[in-house]
Amino acid sequence: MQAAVLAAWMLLPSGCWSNKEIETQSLQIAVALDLPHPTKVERGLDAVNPDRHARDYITNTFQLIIPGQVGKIGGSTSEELSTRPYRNISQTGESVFGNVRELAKRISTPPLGHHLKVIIISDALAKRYDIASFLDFYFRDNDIRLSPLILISRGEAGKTLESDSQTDIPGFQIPETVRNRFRSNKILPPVQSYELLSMLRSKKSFLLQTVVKSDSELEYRGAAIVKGESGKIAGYLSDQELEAASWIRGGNRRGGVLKLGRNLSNVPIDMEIGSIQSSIAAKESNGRFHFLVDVEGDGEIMEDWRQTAVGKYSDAYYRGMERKLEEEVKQNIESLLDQLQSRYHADPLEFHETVRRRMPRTWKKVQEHWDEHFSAADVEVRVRIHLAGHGASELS
Amino acid sequence: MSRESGGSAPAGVESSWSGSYVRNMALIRKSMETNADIKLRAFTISHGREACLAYVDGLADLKAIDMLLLSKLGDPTSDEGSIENVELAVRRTLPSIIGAAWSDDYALILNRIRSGSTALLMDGLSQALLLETVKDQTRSLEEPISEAVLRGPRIGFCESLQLNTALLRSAGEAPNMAMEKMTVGREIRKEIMIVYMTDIVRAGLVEEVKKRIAAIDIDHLPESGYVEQLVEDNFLSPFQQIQNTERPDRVIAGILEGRVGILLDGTPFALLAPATFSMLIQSPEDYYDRWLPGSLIRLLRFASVVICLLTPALYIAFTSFHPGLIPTKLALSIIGARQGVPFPSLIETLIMEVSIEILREAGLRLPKPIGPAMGIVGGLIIGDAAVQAGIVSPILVIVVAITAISSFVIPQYSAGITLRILRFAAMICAATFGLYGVVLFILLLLAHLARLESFGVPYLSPLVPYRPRDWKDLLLRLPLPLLRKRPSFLSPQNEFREDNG
Amino acid sequence: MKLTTPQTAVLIINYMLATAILVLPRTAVQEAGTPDIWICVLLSGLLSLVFGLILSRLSGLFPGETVYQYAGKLIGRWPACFFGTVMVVYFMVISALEARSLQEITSKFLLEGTPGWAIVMPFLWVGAYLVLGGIQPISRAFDVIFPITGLIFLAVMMLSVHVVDLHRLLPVMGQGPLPVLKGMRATAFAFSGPEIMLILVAFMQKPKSAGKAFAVAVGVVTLFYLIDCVMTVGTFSIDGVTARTWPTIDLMRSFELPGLLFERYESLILAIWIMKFFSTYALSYYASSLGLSQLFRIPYRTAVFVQLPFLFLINVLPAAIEDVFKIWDLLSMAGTGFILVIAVILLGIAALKGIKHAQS
Repeated sequence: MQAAVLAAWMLLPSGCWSNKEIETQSLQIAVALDLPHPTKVERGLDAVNPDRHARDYITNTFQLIIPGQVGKIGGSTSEELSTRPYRNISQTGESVFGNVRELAKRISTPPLGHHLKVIIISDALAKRYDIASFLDFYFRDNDIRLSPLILISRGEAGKTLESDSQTDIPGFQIPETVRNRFRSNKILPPVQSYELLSMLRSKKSFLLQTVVKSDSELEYRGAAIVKGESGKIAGYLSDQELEAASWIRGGNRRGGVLKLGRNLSNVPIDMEIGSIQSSIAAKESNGRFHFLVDVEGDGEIMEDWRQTAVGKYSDAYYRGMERKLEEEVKQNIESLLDQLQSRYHADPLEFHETVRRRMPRTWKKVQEHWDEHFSAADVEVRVRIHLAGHGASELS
Repeated sequence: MSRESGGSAPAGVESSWSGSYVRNMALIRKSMETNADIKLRAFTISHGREACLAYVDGLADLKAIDMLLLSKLGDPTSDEGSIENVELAVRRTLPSIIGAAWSDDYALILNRIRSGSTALLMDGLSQALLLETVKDQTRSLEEPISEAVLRGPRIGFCESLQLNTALLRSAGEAPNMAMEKMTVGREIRKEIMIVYMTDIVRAGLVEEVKKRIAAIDIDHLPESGYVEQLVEDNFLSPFQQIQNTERPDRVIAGILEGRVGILLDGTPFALLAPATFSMLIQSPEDYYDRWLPGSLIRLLRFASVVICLLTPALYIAFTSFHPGLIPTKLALSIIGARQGVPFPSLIETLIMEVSIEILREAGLRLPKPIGPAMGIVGGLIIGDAAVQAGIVSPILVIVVAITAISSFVIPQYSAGITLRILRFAAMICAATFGLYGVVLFILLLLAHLARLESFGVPYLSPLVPYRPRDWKDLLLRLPLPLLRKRPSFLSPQNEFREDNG
Repeated sequence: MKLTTPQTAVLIINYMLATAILVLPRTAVQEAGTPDIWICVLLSGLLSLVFGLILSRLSGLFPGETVYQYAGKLIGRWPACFFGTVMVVYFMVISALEARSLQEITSKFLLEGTPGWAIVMPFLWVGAYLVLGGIQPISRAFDVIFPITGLIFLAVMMLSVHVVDLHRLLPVMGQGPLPVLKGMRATAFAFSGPEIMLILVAFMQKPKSAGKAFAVAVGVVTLFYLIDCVMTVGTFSIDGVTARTWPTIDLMRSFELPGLLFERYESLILAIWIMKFFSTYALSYYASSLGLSQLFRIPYRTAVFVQLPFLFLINVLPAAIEDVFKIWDLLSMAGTGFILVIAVILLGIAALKGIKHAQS
């Protein structure tokens, strides 16, 4: 009896509280963070009704999928969408959370954070502020998951979310490119929100993939070095340096391409990488660290412009090729390490992990200023490459 | 030959049978004033003796009377032998007719006539001879409509208790199959037969069943459904606690597990007690096919039960409360589909579900040729039109269709009804609290099922408590050689189906 | 009908697995400071096993009687009454806190706009409905909840394998054994639950197997906690894990498997965990109802209903989730500790009195 009364009483205001129909919200699938630069729209709004606030810290550009414009995405239809299925809205303000809430005043369908796929940060913003500071909202909010991909854009982040295509949605396209990792070792393993969180809190340096936009094309190109102590960008790695970094990281990196540089060969010769095993051994003496990087890779020759001249592939040719490739890799790695140690004073390649795992007591002593210890360390590089074959070509 | 005490006789009439033929006939004639369907046929047998037959035309099998009885009574024209010899002969030969009984209890005689027996009165005999001449009133044995199987006997019970028990006996020689008769009903008395295997069933179960049936106090039991409702443990529960079936093979299987079968005269629906939730999923043909299809189809049924119960609720929960918990592409599809729909998802779903239920009920009442077509046509057209008109979203139509179809998979029609009801409850819970509401609903349901018992057997058996032996026959149907033991939750006396020695 | 041994094991498992598993990685790492918390888990499991066996043995001496009933025989009526009341209050607080934790999680992740009381009240009512049925229906319901929640939990954990980097768990014992001991302060509370043996053994078919049931239960619980800790720390590393209030849930939210049916699995985990909270709450509620009924000689049904308003009150008392955690901490230290100590004392007294075998 009591149950019936209670049930009736509870069901009367049924659905009044958290009930929000799905079509009353827009899906926020990507967001770009920039240094503050109010858009024309915003300046227009301010002109009519100026807002009194201290100062702007950040501009958020939201890529939203507005319900009204969804039409039949994913379904099969011959309808042409007259407008793009998404909309980019920029909002400048004091804080990220403030910007998000401002949207409630600008569009009728407030954003839903659950489906956020990628966060793009402009390098200028990351140079000025600690990344952990402006990303705090994205870690705290209980709707936004810890899965979005984090990228740094060279140049204005908001522009990366624009696209000429009528059907492609950048918010979906950009993270999906990461899946091409097996074709290129110049793409870093994706850093998702949860991982970034751990890295920021551990105060160790790390790398973040950068994207570059030219005209209307976006490319994954190079990486940014974020210094652990400050959480800000200290410098960049070029594509080639990134490749060298991937050799150090190792870990079964299939599919990358290794080219012989100009100094080792005057025509293009490419090897497709099958896998890379890498190990880092560490020793410490008198406060100075000594690292041994041992890299072993195997692969196949995929393109050799000297093919006809060579004639038959002999064992000697292979061995010679291997030596040249090894030298190439070694040079690249050494030049990368040089940059990291002398110029940037940072260890984003996780040499510290070796120390932490193998020599925990030593680690406790040095972990505070690890970047300096690393910069002073000796690093020896050893490279071995095995060529398995030469594709589908064979010459007699 | 049996003697029973009869029921009540019409008041105000001299109710004692006498030795006088004439007086007895008068008694019968008097009763015909209020029982106009009784007919009296007087005739003469040898030696000019008078005799008469009293019967109910339509109920008594006249052919049988003619053939058996009168041939034994001898040639009316012959006057051979003495009348005493004739009497002796009559006394000796007539009882050999099956179902014959002597009686001088007027009330009993009247009752028996009204039940279809024929009474033979003969001048010179103080007692009347009652003959079982009930005509078989039933239709031919057909496959039950509501429990059709693809493979298996196409026989169903009919309305005659005699024939039904005969069907059970005809399964084979069964020295341990016991049948006990009980009578229920005050104004109109009916016979109930309780069937069980003496060497298998738990003793207390039979006692409990008989106790509950004996406690029924009602004027008439038109259908076994009444028995079910008057005897079950918890009448407030949406779940059936007694199984009903039209199939003899189901009853046989049931009693071999240790259940008790209850047959009521006048209905082809037999009852099996106790029942557990596993009857939602099991069907006799699971056993007639091989174990692999049997197991897979059972799993499919189980999945259908879950789908049927929860799909609309989950749709409401995710659409209205947690769009963030579904895959992004799906969310986009739903958003696209819901463009222009004026109702919140609960109302939308209710509209469609109620419409489907209306269609379903309507389809049952329509004449056979139109019924199924109506269901399909109605569903298609209405669903499509609703989508075109923008009242519901196409995704919802899919959801509702899948739900409806899954509910047909359940072998027991009455169990299907339970799920249909619960589905609405789930939808309301989802509309109030989203996914949390659905989980609460599941918990409430679980709590209810955990508390429910049927004749002392927990309703959630054989799933819980953990008895791995019983699981071999629950979700999967393991090969027959592995199903050697009977389910233990019925506490059978004899565990093994085969000879263990 | 009495409880079979597997039934008892399932009851214990469902009772012990509750809030703790969602926060354990964080609390343990906060105390220990190293990734060795999995060792803490193992050790705490052993510790819990020891206590459970002691309590089973104690209850086994008085078959058919719960501690409310037999304590009086050992330490006299009034002390036993006091101890019983402490236990009743303890169980009530556990019930209320479980409900509160549920409210927090549901509110945060599922139903943001809904007021707390609306979330909690139906929960309390459904629990009361189940508890009214007694130990048998509770056990049956648990028997259904356990496989569902257990399997889904394991399955989703397995799915998260691709975001886990086991290297984050190294080094093992890098800072020596001290962090492990510190970490056990947090993991010990996760294993609080042996006290339920003081009640359950009375209903068992074979009280002698109580110890076995408990051992199996602790084994399963340890396994779950182990997987939880390894996966969470493996994904977030010790730095990240301390930053999240509910690390296990965040683990679920850190990956998407596009195309694989659900894509995002936190909905499953949340649904499972609601059921788990419910089971701990129900059993604890039962324990306190039983206590009230047996100690103060009131009918069982009344005992159940009378607690509802109190449960609700306790439920709304803590102002924020941090307070809830503080109370948990206090409860596990003081409450469980107290009960365990008393129980050991009781066992000692029983030995002194020469009660070595079951009293019929």
